[in-house]
Amino acid sequence: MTSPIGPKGPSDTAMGRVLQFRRPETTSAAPAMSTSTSTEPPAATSSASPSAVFDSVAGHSNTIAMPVEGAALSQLVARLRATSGDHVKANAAGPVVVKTAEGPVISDSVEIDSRAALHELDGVVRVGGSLSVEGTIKNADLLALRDLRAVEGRLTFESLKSV
Amino acid sequence: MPLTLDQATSLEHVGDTLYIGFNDDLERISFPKLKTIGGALIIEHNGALKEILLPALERIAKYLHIHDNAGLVVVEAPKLRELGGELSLSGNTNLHTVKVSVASAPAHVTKLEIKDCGKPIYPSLHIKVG
Repeated sequence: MTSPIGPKGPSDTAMGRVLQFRRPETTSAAPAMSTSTSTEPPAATSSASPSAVFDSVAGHSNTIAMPVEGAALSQLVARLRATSGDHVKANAAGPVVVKTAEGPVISDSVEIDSRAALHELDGVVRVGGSLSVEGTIKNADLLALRDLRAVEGRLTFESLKSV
Repeated sequence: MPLTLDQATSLEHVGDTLYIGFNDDLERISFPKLKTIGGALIIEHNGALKEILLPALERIAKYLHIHDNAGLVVVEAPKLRELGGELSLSGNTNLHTVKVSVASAPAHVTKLEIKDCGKPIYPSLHIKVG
């Protein structure tokens, strides 16, 4: 059974310890906030790094069936999330906010990974795709979400740290 | 400085899964107007998290997992009526209070799991299994 939100931690009893896997996509040069749709080839990696081992497995198998714990688990989850199907790709123009009768709306998926990017959501009432928020922030930065009434896709708050 | 996730005071609907995980500094989750979640609700590995308050939540289309939040003390979702899958509480070693649904209208779940939590039974957890 595939997780409805893509790969995640050990709570996914439906899959036990086997995490579904897709071949990685590069995210280099992505701006703090991005929208979009493009796909890119897998990143080249050094064969000596843990990442390379991971990618090596990725290139030859659809699943990873090894127990992973602690920091390694966190890193693995973050990496798997980055390779999930609806991952948001780079678009230098940033999110497109459209003014509608109900208020400002973003029709695409948005990935936030900085305080500045979070502030770009200020006043937005609806996100038509998924919204992911991560990174180092202050509580006050999250006030940018105060007008948000609906997220039509997945809503994720992950790896948030306080400034 | 601890983080709180209670600023989205207008949020009423999430079309797919709501995932909150691996936030080391997060102490509080509160979505005062959130009514429906079109996927699962997963809250896991937030070590400093103390309370989860979802006073308006009525429906979760899939499952509810609250796992491995070592500091978690309180979970409240008193208006929850519909849960499409299982309810799993695991590894929340300090969990003291769970208020889900009400006795007169218990939420139906496919499976209930309470494992490695502060208590084996929560009297204010009103659900029907099956």
